Order: sequence, then structure tokens, then C-alpha cells
Amino acid sequence: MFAGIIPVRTHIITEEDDIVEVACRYTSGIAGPGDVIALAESVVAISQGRAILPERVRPGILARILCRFPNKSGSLATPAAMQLALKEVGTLRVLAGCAAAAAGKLLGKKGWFYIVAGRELALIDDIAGTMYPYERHIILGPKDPQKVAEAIKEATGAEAVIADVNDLGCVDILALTRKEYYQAVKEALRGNPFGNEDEQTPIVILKKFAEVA
Amino acid sequence: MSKLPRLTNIYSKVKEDNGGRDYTLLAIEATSPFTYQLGRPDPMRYQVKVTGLANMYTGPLAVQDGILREVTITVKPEESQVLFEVWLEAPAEATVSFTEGLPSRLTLLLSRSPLKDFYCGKRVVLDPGHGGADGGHRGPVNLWEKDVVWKTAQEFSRQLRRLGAEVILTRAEGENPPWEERAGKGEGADLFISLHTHGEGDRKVRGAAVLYPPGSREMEILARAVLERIVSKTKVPGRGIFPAAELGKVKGCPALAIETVTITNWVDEGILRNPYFHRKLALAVLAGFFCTYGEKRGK
Repeated sequence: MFAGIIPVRTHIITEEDDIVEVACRYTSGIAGPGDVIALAESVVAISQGRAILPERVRPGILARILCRFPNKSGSLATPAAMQLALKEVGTLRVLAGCAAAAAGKLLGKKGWFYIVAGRELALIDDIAGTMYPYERHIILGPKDPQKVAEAIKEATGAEAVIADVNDLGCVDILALTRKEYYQAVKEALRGNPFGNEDEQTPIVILKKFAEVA
Repeated sequence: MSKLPRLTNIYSKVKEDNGGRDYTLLAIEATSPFTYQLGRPDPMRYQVKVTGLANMYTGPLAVQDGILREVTITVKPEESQVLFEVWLEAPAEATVSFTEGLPSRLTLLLSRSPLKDFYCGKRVVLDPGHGGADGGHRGPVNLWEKDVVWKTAQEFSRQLRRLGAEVILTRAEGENPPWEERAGKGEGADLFISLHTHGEGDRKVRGAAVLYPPGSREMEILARAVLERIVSKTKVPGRGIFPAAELGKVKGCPALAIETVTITNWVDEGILRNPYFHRKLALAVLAGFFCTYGEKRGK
């Protein structure tokens, strides 16, 4: 469906940035109606001040205990990240998620923790889960991603998507302004054009037509 | 609205061509085909003048892979021109190609033969610290030093073999030979690299350090250069360079011990889980050795 996938190199986005203005600036003259501006969910969250230094978090006993159970390579393996998860969705939901995870383990099923505790917890990037200079932070998922996507659409005229993508080809669409694009956007982002190493391309333009505005 | 191409991205990576040779790839992308002028004012610098508008961030692109140091970008809006200055670390030859599309892409393939010429035939001893029953330091989540330095050593080994070097490991995965035996393998080698992580009771301490044999000014300079490379390439903070008496037992070849991170720190332990970290670390150390020590001793 898309004629081109154009990653755009940006500066390091911080909480000082207005993400809508950033999207406008880097896509100006390129993205127009029918195109899609894709943003990596982590930079949206960072611009919303949702990058938290672990030293600012005081993990309680429950967080210290619960963080021993998740996969160590994933998120929520540190007490600080687990404490933020408890704060994000509440203790009851996290405990219910733990019960579901335990049941899932007995039945050989994965992912039940996040189904019950909340998808937003799957978006938490634990310490060292994000590129420099945010490797010291825990990055929560973005707040109100659909609102952000709609604001970008209003400001640019292009459609907008906010997605969590990894190098394994997993694409999680958090917000999309035009639902019928869902499958095409998912396919276009599967190769992770945001990058996961030194790339500084958290904005990707999916061009519907070969002509540039 | 202007029809000038919009420059959107610049990136670099080490790539392999169809013939199995390594290149440093530098790519400049734009929304449509663009005109460019390629110049080489001196052996250590290429200049690429591109006609177009810069939509992308135009801060420098730091690479430091032993061949390409960095690319600086200057925008000349009055001429609708963007100047890319490609600063080399070795006088590498470039092959240029252009692909039309969305995006259109100018590619410079920089030969990595200066690095390969330097390492080819060299004997490099890699010493992954600890092993067997000796786990070394443990991270706050679950990583053990003996396991992560083994992983790092595999990455060093892979890169060195690609450069034509002979690699000798001082231990197998489950072994823990004594230091004297490990150091003895350095005899007659061209380089000895011992790989460790640092550990502290204070979980706030983090960063990399490079240790060198005491009393060797030459090794001190090398250690400093290697640490600078590690810090710049991996973004792990530097803890400093220190003399280490045990390295004096490695006779007849340059010897360094690298504490890649401080594993007892939450962030540093997390960084060790990133496979790109080990690759970047190896690249930084090998480039550091090549760019400093290589100039003094030649091949």
C-alpha cells in the first residue's frame, strides 16, 4: 500500500520537546494527506516526561518481591520498574496479573500477566531498555496516545500512528488516526525502521504515493 | 511548494558485501533523486555536496569504527545545499553508488582494508575472566561476570577472525585456569586482552575502566586511547585507567585488561543484555588499538 518508508533523523527528543511540533518540523514538505507519520512510542512518552530515573523511585517490599518473577531480559525485572508498574495500574491489578501468569505457566501459556494486569505495563522499558541518553531511565508507555496522534493529524494533515516496534518483527499499534490503514501500517513497520541500535530515527513517514508534497 | 529533494537521514554501519568483504557503509537519504558532488580534499576526508533541503537533524554523526570517524553536516540554505564532511580514521578508498527510490540513497562503501591489513596474521589472545566455579561479580538482577565476559570474548573473536587475525582464548566456557597459565599464552602474541567487569558494594558506581601493566608509558597511552573509544562508542561512562600488577606477567606483548562495565550497577547490568553493546565494545577496542598502537609499530 505504501510507496515508500522514509525514516527521518531527529535530534534527541527530551521532555522539553512538544512532540506535535517535532512531528510537524521533521515531516514538513514531505508528509501530506493520505501519508502516515509514524512515531516510536518511547519518544512520545519521553516528551511527556514519562522517563523516570530509578533513583527517584522508592520500591516497596511488594515491588522487591514481585520483580523476581518476570523474565530477566524483559521489563519489570528491577524493583524500581515494578514499583512504577504498581503505581501505574494499582496493586490489585498487578497481583491479579501475577495470579494469571502463574496459572498460565502451569498451562504452558505466555503473556497472561499483561492480559490481566494491563497492556500499558508491557510498554514499560526497564533500565537500559532504551537508547542513550535514556538508558538510565525507566520509560513508561505514552499517555493518551490516540489524542497525540489526532493532534499530529490536525497539525500536519497526514495520518498518524504511534507504535511499539522491535527487531523481532513485533509491531504493537497504540494509536492510529485511520483504522483502515491498520494492517498496512503494521506491515510497513515490521522491519523496524525506527531502529534499535544507533539510529536516531523515531519518526518514519509512510508515503502513500511516490510524489512528495 | 519547492520540489527540491528533502534530505531525511544519514547512517553508517559495517556491512559485508557479496564477496564476504567488510565495508563501512555510509548512506545519505532523500525524498527524491538528488545531485551531488564528491570530492576528496585530502586522504583522510571526503566531501559530499548535495543539492536539497535538510529536513533531518544536522548534528554530527559519530561513527568511530576504525575507518570512519564522523560526518559533520553544514547546511547552506541560501544555496539550497548541504555539505557532508566525511572524516576518516584511515585513508580508505570509497566506492560510490546511487539508488533511486523513496527514499533515494547515495551510498559510500569505504574499504576496511587498512584495518584488515593491520590485523591480518596477528595473534591476539583473549582472556575471558573467571569461569567454572568462579563466577566473578554478580549483577543485581542475575548476570554473572564469567558469563558476560565469555559473550564479549565471542564477539571480539568473531570480529578479529573476520579481520584475518589468529585468536587464542585462554579458557573454554566452563574452565577457570590460573592467571599464570592465562598470562603464559600471551608469549609471542601481538596483543593480549583480558576481559572483566568491575564490581562494587556501592550500586551507584558505574562505568568502564582499562588496566595496563605498571611502568609502561606506552601501555598507559594505549589504555587511555582505548577507554576514550569505549566511552565514545558505547556511551558507558569511563571510570579511568589504572595500573594492574598482574598484567606485568604477560611477557612480550601489549596487554590490557578491560573492565567493560560495572556489573553491580543496575544500568550497566542492563546494558550487558543488549547484544549491540558487545559488538560496539569490540569495535571500539579494536579501532582504538589500530588507530593508536598501529601507527607506532606499523604492521
